[in-house]
Amino acid sequence: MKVIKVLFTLGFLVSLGCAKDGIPILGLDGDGKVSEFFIGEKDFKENMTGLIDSVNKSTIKVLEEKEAKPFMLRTVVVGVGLKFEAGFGPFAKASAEPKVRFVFSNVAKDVPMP
Amino acid sequence: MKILLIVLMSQVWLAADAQATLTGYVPSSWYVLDQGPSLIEDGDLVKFESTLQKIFKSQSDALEGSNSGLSEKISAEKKPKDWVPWRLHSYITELALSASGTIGVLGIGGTAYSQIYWQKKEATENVNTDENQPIESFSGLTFAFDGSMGPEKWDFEIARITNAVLSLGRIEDEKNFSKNLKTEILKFKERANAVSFHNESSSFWVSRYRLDLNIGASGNVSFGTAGGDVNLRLEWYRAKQKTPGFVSRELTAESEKIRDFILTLASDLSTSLDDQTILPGNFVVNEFRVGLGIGLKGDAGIAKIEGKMIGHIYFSRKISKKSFVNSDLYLTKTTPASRNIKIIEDSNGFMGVSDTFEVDREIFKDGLKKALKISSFLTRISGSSQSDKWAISKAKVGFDMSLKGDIAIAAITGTVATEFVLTNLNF
Repeated sequence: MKVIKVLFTLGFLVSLGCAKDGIPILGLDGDGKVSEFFIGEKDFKENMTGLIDSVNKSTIKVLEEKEAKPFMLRTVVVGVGLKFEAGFGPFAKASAEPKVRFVFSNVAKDVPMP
Repeated sequence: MKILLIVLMSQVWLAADAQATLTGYVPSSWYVLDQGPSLIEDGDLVKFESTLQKIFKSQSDALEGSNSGLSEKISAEKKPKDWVPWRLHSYITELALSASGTIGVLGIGGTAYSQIYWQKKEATENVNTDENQPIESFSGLTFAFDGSMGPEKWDFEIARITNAVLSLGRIEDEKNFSKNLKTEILKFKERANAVSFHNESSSFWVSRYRLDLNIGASGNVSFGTAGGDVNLRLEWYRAKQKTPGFVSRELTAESEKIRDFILTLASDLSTSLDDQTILPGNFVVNEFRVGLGIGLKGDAGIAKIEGKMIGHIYFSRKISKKSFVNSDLYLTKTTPASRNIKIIEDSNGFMGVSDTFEVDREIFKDGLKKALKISSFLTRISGSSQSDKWAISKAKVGFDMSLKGDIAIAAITGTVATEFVLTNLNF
């Protein structure tokens, strides 16, 4: 019975660790090894929406202040890292920072793209 | 007891199934070099497609659900004619591919195989990409040279760039720096001269040559983007195909080899990519980037690693919504059908005797076609991924190359030897 309990627990842990569902996040750890884990779609969307709101609000505020000066600043690229914590299983302590960039512009058309 | 065993077995089965069904999304020939074109249909593209759709749907929903409105503050200052209130115009994310073929959002470190450009629909009216000189993330000084600039202007530019770098106050040996920088800019000018030649039989023409330089406090100048006390980027531009490049009929031996390499590569690009100009999702490949390298014996070719690069060459192709346009060519040369294409690699790892390898032109052209097919797959998913306000306007796809000339998606631990730029014609 004790053996069954141990096997049951191990099976449960293995199933959680291998439950690859959602959005795959890939990266390299400090040793240059590939790290891979999944984050739920709902969590991913909520994190990204919050990030976009936050970056948009803070960047626009700064740019409005700069606008008081002559119009030399036309397009701004903001790079952001968003930290996700992985779920249960072999990647329990892994984390990654999906790199995203935001392009802000006050040009009506022909916005130069990075 | 029986129930416990059944539960245990079901958990193990589920775990094994999850592992089995969610790895190897991409056909091996798409990301493993020299697998041959016959394996192109291998793998489960349905799962690959499903993962891509899931990523794009999540990003689209996040953008749609966010508050990315316009700035409400309107300055009283005199504004330029094309001024509008500050707004979030685009959102750029990166995708990566693991060594086992799993696709995902790129996190820390590693090589991105694709950069996805989400763009707000209402902010894209009348965008003319032909006139649209791109900006890049670069922490250094950038100087652009107009393709129509005459020879006499170069001396003026050398003095201007030298003064700009010295004004930063980071160079200790100014004399050594001035001498070295002048040497490098004159070489850059010579190479810009070589790449401005055009192959009349090709729809591709060189629109840009970029060189990144590191400058040390001692005044030493070297190639690359990392390190150095000052980073300098030189870019030679030809905004339009019909704009004359700076061309001198007199070429050095090295420049002749660069010119021949450019003409040959342009020929292969056109041969391999002109059959299908409009990709699914209404995307087009309108730019192709490759590293330029010079081998130990002076051969010009595709530089596979950054250490062998003396800049990047950007080939452009003008494509309208109906078909590509191939007219108003500046300089014409005969088709270099018999010439070869070479790859410049690190000499240390390959018998230590040579760093130049001749690619098989047929394998290379097949590789380009394969890259187009891989790009088509991405554009099909990209084209159908949009919300009311946001859609994917552009995607860059990076490919690695083998010494034989095969092309495959750049893995997270790999390098990008060539890059396709895919543009959505709906923008």
